[in-house]
Amino acid sequence: MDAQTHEVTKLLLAVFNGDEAAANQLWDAVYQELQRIAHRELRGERLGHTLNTTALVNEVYLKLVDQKMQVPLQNRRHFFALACRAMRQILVNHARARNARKRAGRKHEVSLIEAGEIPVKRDEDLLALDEALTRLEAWEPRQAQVIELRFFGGYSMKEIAGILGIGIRTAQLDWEKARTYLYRDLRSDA
Amino acid sequence: MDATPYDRRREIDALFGQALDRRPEERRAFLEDRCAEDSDLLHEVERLLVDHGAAEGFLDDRRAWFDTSRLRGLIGEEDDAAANRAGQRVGLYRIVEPLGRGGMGTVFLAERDDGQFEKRVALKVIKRGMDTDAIRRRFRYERQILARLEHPNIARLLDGGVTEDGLPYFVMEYVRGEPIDQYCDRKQLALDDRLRLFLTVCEAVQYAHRNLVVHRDLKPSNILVAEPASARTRAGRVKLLDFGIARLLDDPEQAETLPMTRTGLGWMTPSYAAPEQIRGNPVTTTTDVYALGMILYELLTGHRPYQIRGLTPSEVERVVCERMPAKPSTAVIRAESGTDEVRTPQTTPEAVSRLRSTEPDRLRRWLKGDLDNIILKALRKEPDRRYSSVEQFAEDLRRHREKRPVLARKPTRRYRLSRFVRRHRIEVTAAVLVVLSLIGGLVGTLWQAYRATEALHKVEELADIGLSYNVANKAGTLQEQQLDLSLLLSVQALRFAETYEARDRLLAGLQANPHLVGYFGKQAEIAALSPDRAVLATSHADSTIRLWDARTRRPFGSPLTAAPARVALLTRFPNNESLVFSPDGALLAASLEDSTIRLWEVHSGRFLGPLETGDPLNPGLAFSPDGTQVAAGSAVDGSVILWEVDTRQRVGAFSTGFELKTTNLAFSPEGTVLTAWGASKRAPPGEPPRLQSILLSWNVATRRRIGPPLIDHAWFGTQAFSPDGAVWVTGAAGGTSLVLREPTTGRPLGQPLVGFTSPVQHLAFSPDSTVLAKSHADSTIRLWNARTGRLLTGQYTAKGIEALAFSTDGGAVIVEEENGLVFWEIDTQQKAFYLNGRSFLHHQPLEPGSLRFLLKEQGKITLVDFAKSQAIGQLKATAPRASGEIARTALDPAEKRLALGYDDGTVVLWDVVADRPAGESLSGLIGSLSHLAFSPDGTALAASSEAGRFVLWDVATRGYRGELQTGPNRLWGLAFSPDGQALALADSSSIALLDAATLKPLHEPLADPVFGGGLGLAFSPDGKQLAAIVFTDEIEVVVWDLATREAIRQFRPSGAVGTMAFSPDGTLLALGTGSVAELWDVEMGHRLGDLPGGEEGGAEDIAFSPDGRLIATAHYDGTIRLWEVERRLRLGEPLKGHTSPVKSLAFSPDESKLYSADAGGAVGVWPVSLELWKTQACRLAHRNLTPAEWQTYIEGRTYQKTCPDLPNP
Repeated sequence: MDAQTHEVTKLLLAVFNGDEAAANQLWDAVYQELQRIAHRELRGERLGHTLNTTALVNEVYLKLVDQKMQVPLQNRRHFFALACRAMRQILVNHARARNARKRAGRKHEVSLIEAGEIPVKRDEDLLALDEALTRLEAWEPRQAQVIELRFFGGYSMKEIAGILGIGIRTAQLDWEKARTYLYRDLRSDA
Repeated sequence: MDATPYDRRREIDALFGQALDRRPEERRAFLEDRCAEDSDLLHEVERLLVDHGAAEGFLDDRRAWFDTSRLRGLIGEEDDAAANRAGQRVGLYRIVEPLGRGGMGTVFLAERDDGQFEKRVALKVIKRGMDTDAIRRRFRYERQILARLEHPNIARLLDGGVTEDGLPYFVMEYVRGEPIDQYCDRKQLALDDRLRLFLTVCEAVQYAHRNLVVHRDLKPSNILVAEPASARTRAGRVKLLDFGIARLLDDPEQAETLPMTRTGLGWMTPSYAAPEQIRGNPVTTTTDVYALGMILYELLTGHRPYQIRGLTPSEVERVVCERMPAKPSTAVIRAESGTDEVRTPQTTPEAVSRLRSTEPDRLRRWLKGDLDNIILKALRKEPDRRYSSVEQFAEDLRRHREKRPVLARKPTRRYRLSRFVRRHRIEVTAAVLVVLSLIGGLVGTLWQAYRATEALHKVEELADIGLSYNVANKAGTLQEQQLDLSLLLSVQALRFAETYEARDRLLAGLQANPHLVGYFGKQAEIAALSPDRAVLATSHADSTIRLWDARTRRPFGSPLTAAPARVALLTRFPNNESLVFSPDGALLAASLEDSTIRLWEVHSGRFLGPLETGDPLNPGLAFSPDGTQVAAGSAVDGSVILWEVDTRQRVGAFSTGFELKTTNLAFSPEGTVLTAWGASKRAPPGEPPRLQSILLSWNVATRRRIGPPLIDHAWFGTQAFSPDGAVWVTGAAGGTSLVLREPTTGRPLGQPLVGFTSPVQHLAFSPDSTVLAKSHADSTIRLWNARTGRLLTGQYTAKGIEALAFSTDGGAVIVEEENGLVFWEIDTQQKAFYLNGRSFLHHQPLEPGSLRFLLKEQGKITLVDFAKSQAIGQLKATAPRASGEIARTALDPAEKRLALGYDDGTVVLWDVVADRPAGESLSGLIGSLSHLAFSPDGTALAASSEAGRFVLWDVATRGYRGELQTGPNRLWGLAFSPDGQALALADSSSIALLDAATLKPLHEPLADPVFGGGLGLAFSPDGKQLAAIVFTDEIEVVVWDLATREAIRQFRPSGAVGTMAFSPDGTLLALGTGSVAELWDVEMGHRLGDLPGGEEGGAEDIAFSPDGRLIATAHYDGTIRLWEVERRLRLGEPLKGHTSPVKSLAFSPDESKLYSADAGGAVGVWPVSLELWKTQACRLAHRNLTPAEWQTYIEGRTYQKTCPDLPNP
């Protein structure tokens, strides 16, 4: 078995021990692995597709968590939540880096790149959404998590309900509410 | 919205959710109803509903957000770099973009240009003006050393060379993060968090030092901290940059001739440079200690120790090399504006404190004392007066954090005591945790966590080491001494197990490896642990005494000198000690074989001298409880001599009047009374000479003897003080009575304890001084009320009792018997635990709650499997009916009746209490019984048959409440809803929900073209879901949401399911298949794992214990197995007794019994102690789980119940 897998699985188990170092290492491992495979995916030939974040997160899970180690449910849930958070972080960090570069250097504005026929959101939009989500987090952590899992992670409501240990209906309501709050927040921003 | 107060927001959010949960056309009315008196609330929620409509589709367009072609741009590879070097190749690397500019040159982000695009690196191009040839030469020479530096907190130096335009460059691991000081301030980390982060830095530097690399240029900007892992984590991950770079750039020849040049060159940061660097003197590891001291100073205080901005080089030299920095605790009360590079424009005490999440006064108090001393010690001008290593520095910081004495302070005794007291203020619960923690010396944080469980796993780790030792020993790779000590410590830790449970768990941990071969001090003969558990002393056959840091298990200084002889090995006898720490732990006294007693200062290892006396001394000594005096017996005249510890001068003597060989010296708990046993061959005048043992006691203050000597004719008598000092109990050897005495007068308290025929051997008081345990030569142990002399009920037996003690919580009597240790639980009068080991522990039992484990002899000691699973139940009732095969059983919730359903359709009610049939058989069911169930209120019993017949009986009247015939289909499944209102029935084509009273359908059947009907049914405990074993090849179990009537979960078990059960909390579903019982997570729809059935096949029936922790499975081979749910561990041996396949199982609601019924008609009533099982589950879990898993384990479900003294998370 992969040593890293074993290591990460142990970290995942250790996190519930209040082991902060483990939490950090776990985050790093998940972040890095997710970033690695995200880059791999993006370097692939298939442009013009939507990044399948769900597949990426699932891949990270399968790669990093030893399926034989009997990881308790709550830890596994934690892993998915963590991975979706890392996904969000990666996407937002990229947007931020690119945005910063744009500001610093070229005036070449890329506000609406056409990719196929779908207008692509601007980096600023993603950053603003991230900030709004952070604000929402302070009030409604679970709602924010639902957004993270659905929007950044791409999970279905059923899967989200499973990951968060809540009912599907509750997850759906959280999504509806959170989306409204975010919409409202971003609109007032504009 | 953010301005809305929290409660208001909660209210709005809840109402918003409730409104959304309704049909759009109903929302208005709903809100008006709910907001009748709060029109603001109404409007707010209505606005939200409007926005909700507008937000429709928002964030659903993920493609627009996450389109790959654009994201690829985000990754940055196609981006043009702003800097002019972007795209340029340097060696194997291509520069991507500039990251920063520093004194040395520019740092770029670069990546391998040979296809290994994963490798992103930081590439430093050194600015012009440095001797490139020298650097290149040196790099070649040094790279071997630098390449060895592989540490998670050190950024690796990967490569180096000279660019095409002639500049030296270095390639390093690319690290994200921000300088440690900025990080700490931005996160507003509290001091302790900062310290912790800093300790990580120290570890990395230590590592480099061990590999002979000095950093020389440590500063906050070289210590990057990456973003925290998650919201619940505050500490980031540390990476040190530029290790070895300074050395590469440093030209030794130049340094010798032009000492000031380097400073003048400006690449070194003067603010953090040590005096020797400023002066151009040799740089050593202590230079890094200095820089770390500077960094810590700034991290903790927000100030730099010196103001050097704008100073000339010579002024800098004077300041750095001569001026004493202010104490950190003084620095924090300074207000400065715009200090040297300090980011906060205005450094005020308030601002500094705020960034550390505290107040100025607390900050100052926190720093005052230890931290002042530690930091200033690191910042000494003279390198050899600093900490000699980063390790020492870090260790002192750890000591401070753990509130142990620090080295940076003169270790006066008062100081040590004050540390001890402060420490114990925090420890609150249990010294054991500390001791257990110290076993885990490998991990410093253990101490902080005070978690017995973690420490326990350290013990397990040690046990593993013990095992691997056998392997490693052959290769000769492991340090024997270390292993000896670690195992010794494990045993020592038992001494301090504060509660019975803690000790129990510790032992369970120790036995993690049943065939562990432990080396309990192969060379050590005697061991003693200091009262503060910080130091372990061992005496050895080579006449050395060694001190060990009990936490790190490293030698604590050099072996103690000036011990001309071995420490005396004493007879196993209470209070007979030859290696003793003073009560404050500051001193160690040893009674040597040369008849002297010598004292050492523990902290320094300094030999203080022998106790002043002309006489040779008997072996054995005692400290007075206040630690100021030592008592030992003179070998010349049999008197007991008293010395003052500080001066080692004799301050008095207690005459015995006998030529006595004294042993077993003991002070009363308050120190007012001293007692000694002695042996005398010569009798007092007037009596014929013979061997006698004599017990004497004195008033310590007056040196007068208390009462007459108690003379015995055999060697051992017995005596003990109660822990509160109120009672002194004495007993003659071979005597059959004990006398409770008032210690200061020796006068008997009440009547002697009589009533036993066998001589008293051992004595122990419970910690609260109320219970006295005595063991007798007839292998019995009795408990007495130590106040009243009344015999308490309960008798415990043991074979060949060697020693006796109470657990510290008083909950158990601990007996060392012939073959091991037994823990008798006082409440239950049951053997709770058994440690089998052939008399390997040598101890002195008189101290309540502490068995003293010492080494009995040299050589190895074997711990064998001692946790035998115990008989925990038995088959009680048998065969209520001679013929027919029982298909199902059901237990009435009132627990009075068991319903037995036979294959022929007969149903018998069995009176469990009376253990006989309750009346005649119930009749009316036609066909082979398929299912049987009591209504939740116990008044009705329902049964179904394969002939499609359903009958509902009234249990009291035995009459029908109702019946149904469902046509040609077989009726398979039957279940009452938890509230008793509904009844679910399944046949092979549909599942019907009926009103339980009227048997009228509540809904349309849950017919499903795919799933068909059901074989078995189970309601979730909340009644909202229904699970069915369905007829299909693919999907075996389906869970319906009864509200929406939708199938929400589908499980595909490994085989055909015959039985199933919801866990009491509804989260798990246990499915019995032909080969295993499977556990599924209902919410996640995952298979969590299996309870293997083995050759006997899978579970015939499954029952969860009422608290959901245990599962019982019934098996075809007549066994019943118990499992722990969370980890799926099998508990104990299978319950045996049934001779036919066990068909049904039920727990009594109070968990006291498990009922079983087999196909042959036998009924088992297993008077199970689930608590015992659960305790066993705890032990098993301990054996099998990592610390982290264990933590998860105890946090799950209701485990605190049986693992009670674990800290609540």
